[in-house]
Amino acid sequence: MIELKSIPDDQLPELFLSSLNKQSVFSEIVNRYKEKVYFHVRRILENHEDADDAAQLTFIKVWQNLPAFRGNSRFYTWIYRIATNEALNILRKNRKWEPFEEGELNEYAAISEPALPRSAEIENRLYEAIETLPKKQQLVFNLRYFEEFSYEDIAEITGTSVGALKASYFHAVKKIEQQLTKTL
Amino acid sequence: MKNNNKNNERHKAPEGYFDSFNERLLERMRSEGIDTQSSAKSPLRISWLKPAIAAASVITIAVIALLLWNRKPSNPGNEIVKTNTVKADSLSKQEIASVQETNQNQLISIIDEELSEPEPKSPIIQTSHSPEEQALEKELEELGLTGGESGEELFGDLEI
Repeated sequence: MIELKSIPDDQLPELFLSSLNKQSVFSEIVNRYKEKVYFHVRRILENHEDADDAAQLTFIKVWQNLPAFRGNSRFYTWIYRIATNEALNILRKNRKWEPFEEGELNEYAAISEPALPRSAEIENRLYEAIETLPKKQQLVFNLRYFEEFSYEDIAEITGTSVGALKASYFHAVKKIEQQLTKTL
Repeated sequence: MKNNNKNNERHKAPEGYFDSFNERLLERMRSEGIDTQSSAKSPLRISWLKPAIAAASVITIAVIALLLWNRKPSNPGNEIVKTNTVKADSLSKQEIASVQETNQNQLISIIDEELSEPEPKSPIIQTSHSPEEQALEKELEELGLTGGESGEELFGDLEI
């Protein structure tokens, strides 16, 4: 009897394919990722109902497409990508999705990661400032700042180049700093 | 990971949300007609293989059958007829006349050969076929007359 909790993430797809009890393996995948997926889409969608819908759709897509997963990307970035797409679909349906503007992608330099203030009150203001960003910038910022994904992982999730992501994050941080300066 | 959401009122999940998440997910999958016992799509690495093998087998068998059919020998008689027909069709009038003349010459030579062969010693009776002729020849034989004599030889002494 395999102890599912001891199986590394990247081996779960293979185990799913070879297992006679796929439901058990799938349950383990859901248990490992449901909170991460929920909070990821919640940051994009803001309200709980949409986030719940996106989270469930994410795992339905995982169940249906896991046999076709080829391991070209990390398993968790694959799941995040599905979750992101589901959240963006809901955003588009609600007409709240704004794509990148061309100018934002042009400025890219060796960007140093700015340190943002971390107290609870300031964190609330931080979230308020984040909400003023365009949705895609919010997405990039959340993945980088809160979930600490590498730019390469974010590139896999969003389908955007690393350079564009760095530029986006740079601009996002600048805007948040300006917003926090106004409110503090 | 800077996951502060548990302490953040803005993005806080409802109480017990994650405890019932799996069950609600399964219910939704069933309500949407998704088979929750086995994944909807069979493993891609295997699903294409079996049909591909089956298709290749069918094609191979068909090709072999076709090759065997084409190699099947035709009726020799038909070949000769075809050949002769082609030959006949392709012959000109002169060629046809020549062939006919040749055939005639061959026939004549065969007849000559037959005529030049010594006559069999058997009486004329051997050359007759009908019962009446056979009876007549028998009578002649009993009378001591043999076939081949001329009328003068047969009736030369008679004076009419």
